[in-house]
Amino acid sequence: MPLSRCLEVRDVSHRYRHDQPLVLNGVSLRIEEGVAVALMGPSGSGKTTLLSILGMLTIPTAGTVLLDGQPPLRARGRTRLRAELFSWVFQGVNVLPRRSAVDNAALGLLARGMRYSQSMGTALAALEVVGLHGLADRRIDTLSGGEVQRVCIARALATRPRYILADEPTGQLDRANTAVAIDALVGRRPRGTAVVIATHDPFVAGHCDVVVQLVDGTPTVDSRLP
Amino acid sequence: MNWQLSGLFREAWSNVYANAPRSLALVAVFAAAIGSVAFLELQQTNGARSFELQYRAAGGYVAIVSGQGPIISMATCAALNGRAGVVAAGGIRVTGTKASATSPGTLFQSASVTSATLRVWDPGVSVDIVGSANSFVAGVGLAKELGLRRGGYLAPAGEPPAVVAAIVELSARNGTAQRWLFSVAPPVGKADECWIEFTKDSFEPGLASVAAAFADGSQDPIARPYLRRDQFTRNPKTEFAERPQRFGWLAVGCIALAIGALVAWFRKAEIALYLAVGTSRVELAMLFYLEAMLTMAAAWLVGMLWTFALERVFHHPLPRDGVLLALRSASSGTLLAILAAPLASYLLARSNVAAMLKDR
Ligand SMILES: Nc1ncnc2c1ncn2[C@@H]1O[C@H](COP(=O)(O)OP(=O)(O)OP(=O)(O)O)[C@@H](O)[C@H]1O
Ligand SMILES: [Mg+2]
Repeated sequence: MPLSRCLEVRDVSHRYRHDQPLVLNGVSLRIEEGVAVALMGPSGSGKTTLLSILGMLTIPTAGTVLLDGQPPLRARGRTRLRAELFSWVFQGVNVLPRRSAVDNAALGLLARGMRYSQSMGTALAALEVVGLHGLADRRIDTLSGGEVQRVCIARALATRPRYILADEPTGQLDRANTAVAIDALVGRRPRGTAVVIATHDPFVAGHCDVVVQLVDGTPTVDSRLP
Repeated sequence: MNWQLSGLFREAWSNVYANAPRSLALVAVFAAAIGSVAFLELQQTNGARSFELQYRAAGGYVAIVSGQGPIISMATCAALNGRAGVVAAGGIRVTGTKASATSPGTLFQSASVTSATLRVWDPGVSVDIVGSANSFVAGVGLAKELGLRRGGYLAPAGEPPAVVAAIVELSARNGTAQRWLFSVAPPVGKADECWIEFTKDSFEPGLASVAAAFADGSQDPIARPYLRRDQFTRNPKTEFAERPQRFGWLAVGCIALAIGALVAWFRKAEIALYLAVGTSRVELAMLFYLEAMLTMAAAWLVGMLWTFALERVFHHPLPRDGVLLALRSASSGTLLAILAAPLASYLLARSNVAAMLKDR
């Protein structure tokens, strides 16, 4: 088997507590290099749970996570690996509200050890990609919701990670803002970066290469769009 | 370690600066706490200092050497005046009861002393009383009873009148002699007692060794402190050891722990974000400690300046030992606060990141 760069879950099942039913039941999914995946399904179907397993924040109850065909490192090394591989965009906004847009966009770069001066340049470039170049020095709490979510996308794009995991990144945006955000996240992502977007929005799914349907956390339906 | 150290420093400063209202509130609270500890320690030192003055005034460092009967050498006693650690020393020899020629019914005790004896009893005595057979020194009590004035004359029954050279206030150090009459004589012959005031540091060793100077082979005189040990109820040493503000630094640490927990709760989302972008827990702890150092250093500076300024305004002395004690306690509190404040945030950062990101 050739060594291809991919992230894979095999027969993953998960329950949060012993007395609760399975949230995910035998899910297998393979994220190829640079692909855009939409993760769809009704509320409670386990989209967030699956993202957090893919992003190595949650260890599944059963099944395996494979990185490039290998089981990833345990415990300590995982924190580091996680930082190198993944960038997150969250539902709602997760920012440092009193800091500037460019400071927020630079956060992932700094956490990866980039020098401050260099990180500012890279973060500015990322803000330009999401169309916020002019607002770089504005404090986050003076920006609109759509602008803030684009700052979060810029933060994810700036690090040029192998995977961007986005949990309902457009959940609180209107159509126009959704279009801008998805254009940035999917259309303008760096070459080689795969994005996995959990979403309810068919408009968002329409911009992805692959759509995965999760129904009640049980089997995955992998439907490829034309 | 992923973050550059300089990057963490900058991040800490940016967080402190960007959250100026929170930072200023923290600085204000901890400046008050740290300043209070310093202030209380200064009060303690000032209290101890004024007590020390009182104690000295009350004869705390006065010793009396006596034997069975008048066997104490006046000359030996007077010779102590030259010794290091001796403030003044002088003998007293009781010469019997007398009465004034003008009011023969009023009996009083008379004694012969050296001028240094009067210095031991009344450090404020200003007269240079020389040994003269033609003068008396009267205690305030006696002077009042007999209507004596300084410079006036007194004729004890059966004796020629002599000038009253001084009236001395003895209530502090020899209350029983308030209504005695003294004649000042050169240090010759024997005395009943030799009174010696030592300096503070020389008192204990002096008390232990001075009696030996008067031993004459036949009898061993003994030296005793003028103030009985149980007579003064305050003991500065135990008071210092038991002062409540010795726990002040711990209190500052507890406040830091509590406020740190509160701040951590409000910063939950921020903590989750730092972790989610790839900051390790150790790096996050460093970030919090750097932030705490910045705010606490400012609080320390403000608290100390404020305290010392306040002491100056109220014209309290700022003795070296007090300032050092205040600095030591307040700085201990500050260091503990730096350690304690970020603890809750750090513990919070140890919880599950996935869960933290969800319940933001
Ligand atoms: N920490 C948790 N403890 C217990 N149960 C949980 C926990 N997190 C999620 N669940 C449960 O797991 C199931 C799947 O949750 P998940 O958040 O993955 O769904 P989702 O597809 O992301 O839903 P939504 O579209 O509403 O975000 C839900 O029934 C939820 O109640
Ligand atoms: Mg979800």
